Amino acid sequence: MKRIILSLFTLLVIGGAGFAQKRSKIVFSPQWTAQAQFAGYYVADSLGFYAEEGLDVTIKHPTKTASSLSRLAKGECDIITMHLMSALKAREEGLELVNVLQTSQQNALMVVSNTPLHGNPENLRGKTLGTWKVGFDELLRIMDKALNLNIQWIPFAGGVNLFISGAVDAQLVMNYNEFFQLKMAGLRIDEDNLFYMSDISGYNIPEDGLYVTTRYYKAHKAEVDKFVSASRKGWQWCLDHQDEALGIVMEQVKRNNIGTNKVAQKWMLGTVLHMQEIKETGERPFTLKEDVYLHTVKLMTDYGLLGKEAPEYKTFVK
Amino acid sequence: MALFNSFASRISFRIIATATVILLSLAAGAQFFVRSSIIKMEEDKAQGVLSNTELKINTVMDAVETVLRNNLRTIEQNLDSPQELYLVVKNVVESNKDLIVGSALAFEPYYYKREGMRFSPYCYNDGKDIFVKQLGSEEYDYHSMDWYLIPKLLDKPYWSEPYYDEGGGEQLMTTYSMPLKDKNGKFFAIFTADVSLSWLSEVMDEAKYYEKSYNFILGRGGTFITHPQRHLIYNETFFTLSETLGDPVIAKVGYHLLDGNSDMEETNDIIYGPSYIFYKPIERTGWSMAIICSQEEIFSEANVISLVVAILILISLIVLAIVSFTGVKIMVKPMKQLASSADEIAHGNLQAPLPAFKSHDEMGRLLESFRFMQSSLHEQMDELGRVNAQKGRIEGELKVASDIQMSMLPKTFPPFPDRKDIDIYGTLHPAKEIGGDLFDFFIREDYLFFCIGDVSGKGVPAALVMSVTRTLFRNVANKEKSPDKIISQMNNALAGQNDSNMFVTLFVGILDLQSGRMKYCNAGHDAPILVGESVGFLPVLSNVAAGIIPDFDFVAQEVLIDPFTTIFLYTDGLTEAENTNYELFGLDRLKETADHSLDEGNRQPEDFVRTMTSAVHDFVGEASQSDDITMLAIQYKRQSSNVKFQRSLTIINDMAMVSKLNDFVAEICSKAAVDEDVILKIQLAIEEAVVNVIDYAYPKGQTGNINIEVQVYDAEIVFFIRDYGVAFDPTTKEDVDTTLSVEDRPIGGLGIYLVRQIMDSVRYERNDGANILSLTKYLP
Repeated sequence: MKRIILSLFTLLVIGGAGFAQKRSKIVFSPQWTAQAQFAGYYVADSLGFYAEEGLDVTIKHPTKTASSLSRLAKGECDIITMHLMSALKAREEGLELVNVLQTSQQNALMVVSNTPLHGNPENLRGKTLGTWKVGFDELLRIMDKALNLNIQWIPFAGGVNLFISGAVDAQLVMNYNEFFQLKMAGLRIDEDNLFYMSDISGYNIPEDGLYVTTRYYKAHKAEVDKFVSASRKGWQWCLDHQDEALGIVMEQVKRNNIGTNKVAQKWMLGTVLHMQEIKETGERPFTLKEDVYLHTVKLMTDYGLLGKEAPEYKTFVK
Repeated sequence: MALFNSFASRISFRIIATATVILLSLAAGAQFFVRSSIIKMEEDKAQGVLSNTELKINTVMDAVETVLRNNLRTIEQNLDSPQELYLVVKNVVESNKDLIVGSALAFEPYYYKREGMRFSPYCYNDGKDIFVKQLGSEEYDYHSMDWYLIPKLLDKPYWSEPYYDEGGGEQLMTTYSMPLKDKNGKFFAIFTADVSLSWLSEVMDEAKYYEKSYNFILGRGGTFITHPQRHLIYNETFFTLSETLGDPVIAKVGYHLLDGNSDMEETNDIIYGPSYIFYKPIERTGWSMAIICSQEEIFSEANVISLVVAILILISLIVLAIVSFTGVKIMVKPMKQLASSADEIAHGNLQAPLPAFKSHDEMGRLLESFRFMQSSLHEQMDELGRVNAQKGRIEGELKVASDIQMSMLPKTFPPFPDRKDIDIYGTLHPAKEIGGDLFDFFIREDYLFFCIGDVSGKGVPAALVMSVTRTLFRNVANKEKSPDKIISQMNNALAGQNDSNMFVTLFVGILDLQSGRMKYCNAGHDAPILVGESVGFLPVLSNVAAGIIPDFDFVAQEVLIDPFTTIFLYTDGLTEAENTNYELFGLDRLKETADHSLDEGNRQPEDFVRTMTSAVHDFVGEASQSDDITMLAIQYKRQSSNVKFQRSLTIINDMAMVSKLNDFVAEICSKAAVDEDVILKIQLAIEEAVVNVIDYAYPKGQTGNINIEVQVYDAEIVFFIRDYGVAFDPTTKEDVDTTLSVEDRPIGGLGIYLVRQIMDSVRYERNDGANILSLTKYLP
């Protein structure tokens, strides 16, 4: 009896809250299809952290025809995740973005090769290198220029078949995704046949962060702050409850019909959470440090990825 | 264990154990061979099925490759009119409806400037209709697709990894891509054929030949292309499965598959658990086919056979156990009967009946042996009875002999209760019932005659010689008054009739009860100890044991026994008493015990002997006594009325003894309260006299005793210097002519002159072979 009364009371309170306050609608687009890379947001959504902040969040994954960036440009979504370098580039191309949360503190790019690399990018000189058609390879292209490596770039759609078939000498992979796929494809990768960009001095450029347009930020500062705080809470929960978080990710994966499996997503979650730590200190600041920002801007400017003057740190990072 | 106390159970156990080992080894061996041959058979079967399947796949793929090759010429002819190329791909699909569901001719960017970046005539069959269209678009940038890129980069035809076609009704597809080159060898396009693989599942299902088995195909990247668990297809690879199940064996097998091997091995399966996997690559595509068979099913027949064999083994072992147990039991039954007969015999019934059975085997022999043993035993027991009776008689006689022997020894102590001047105590503990030790004493004309002796050997012969010796002693000592003569006569008597080469060590002493002067002679016996003011060994000449050398010249010695001194005599049974560690009691312990006894003021004969007895008893402990132990203690208690006190010293004829002599003289003179300067003079006189004896009394090189006795009276002190050397009277020497130079004076003259000057009286007498020089000094 007691329990029934309690349930009724709870229902009343929740229902009442629903009536009492109209929740702010936010459309959120991660930069890729559903996977553990975005676990913190799925968790915040699924466990009601957004709702608790009075937000009504819709998660819309990009499709072949609509990337998160293009959606943001068109005003079809409000908040996106994006690589830092892509965001800086987009800003230069006219889409005024501000960084409201920096999840990644390390670069996830790595090169896997059929021939030994001995941890030295020089060994890629003149080699064919598979890279994603859609991008994410800016950092390696800078390195190609910087070291004059004369890499033969082979853009391809995705997956690991190109490398497995032996059609390319080397391939760019993400340590949280394709690297594991390669392992799970039965490839016995020698440690000597790969290197992590995060290990190369000056190239450990952080990646994922949350971005909104400057205009949206000015108009909805409160909602953005709430979204950021709920998202951080989501990520923290992931760190504390990795198995449960993985379950929530797998639900998303199933709902979005993504061909993957639990072990791959487990690897991805673990790796993504690890990359939220600053490599040297193990700290998880969830913000973009100024020196890192300035270094990134300089690197991009020096190698022609940025033409105009980049915004001040305080303008870009909120 | 009681179970194994019988022959039957022990032998049966051994037989069963051996049989079990042999049968189990045979069964294990058979099982191994059966299993091996089953596996071999299964492998052959599986590889046959897999080859057959590969053949089917190859047939289809060959056909597809041939179709494309056959169209190359048409393409070449129509390269100049791109729109005609739509007809080529349409023809490919139309003419091969059962084989090819789609075909594209995808050109390099801007191959036809007019057609733009992507030009790719494409035809496909959705199962109902055939459509023709341009494949490339902004959404579908085929230039970056695997099917285009890989053959282009590898510069050879390529069968793509299988994929699920999203447009064409969810069917499993693969694409065959052929790179095209112009006359100059320059690559310009990829020509493809999309092939449905829906038949592949059927082919794989056909190959299934067990209830608990299934087949699957893996792509180059380990991805499941076919699998009965459909959710695995495309989502999982062999290695994610291994990771999910946490089973590294699966990954190991996976590597073998991807390496293109054709083999079989044990694995763990997601459906059937412990299984065998048989695999073979599809060479053309780099895919792998595999058959999983549950081990349980493969070996189901073998397991039934094993069970039957196990039951048969168990039954045979039980039968064997029963047969061997009862068989052995019957065989050893006579042994049991023999055992109870033997028990009866052992209990004394030598007439116990033996079991009656006829047998010519070992059992029969055993019975014969038993019978013989029984009769022999009977005879032996009779003999033993006779011998025992005899032995009893001899023992009785020996007891009597021992009694007689012991009765020969003095056994009443104190022996002379009326005399106050002498106390004697003696014991003899024989090692065997009768022994060869003896001691005796008697008083004749105020002289105590005593002896102690040890006959060589033991038992009756020693006892007989001991009796003879004791009788001899009584007889001879009754007539003679000097110990050397007594011993000499005894020696001659013993040696004269000594056919058995026995000898006696003897010590004979004659103590003048008036003066305390003791003459003694030793024949190879241990030196007695004197327990007086201190404990010391009586200086004795060893001579030889009596009974060995007839007419041996035994030398007597003499000593003055100080009042209350105890003479302790013993046989070597005391000093050679052995403890359990084979250590001897020895002279040191003897002396130690005597010292200790003296320290406690104990030198009364009986107490002293008892102290010594308990000391040796404690020392020996549990060890058995190996020799007779005989002890005789004599305490002389008489003191002459006017002599204040007297002392004696015996030294040998060696100049080294002079200092000892001087000490002795000084000590006794001090006790007599003589003035210091007079003492020095007396020392000089005595030294002169003794040195004279040392120099001349005995032949050069012969050791002899010199005895110095001192009697202190109220008004005088008298020294007696006694030796047993050649007769020599120094008093007859002329006083030296002191007017002559030292060199010209005759030897010895000065000495006696000096002595006369110092001492008040100098006398010489020769008595019983001894030179006695008495020197007197009046005391003020």
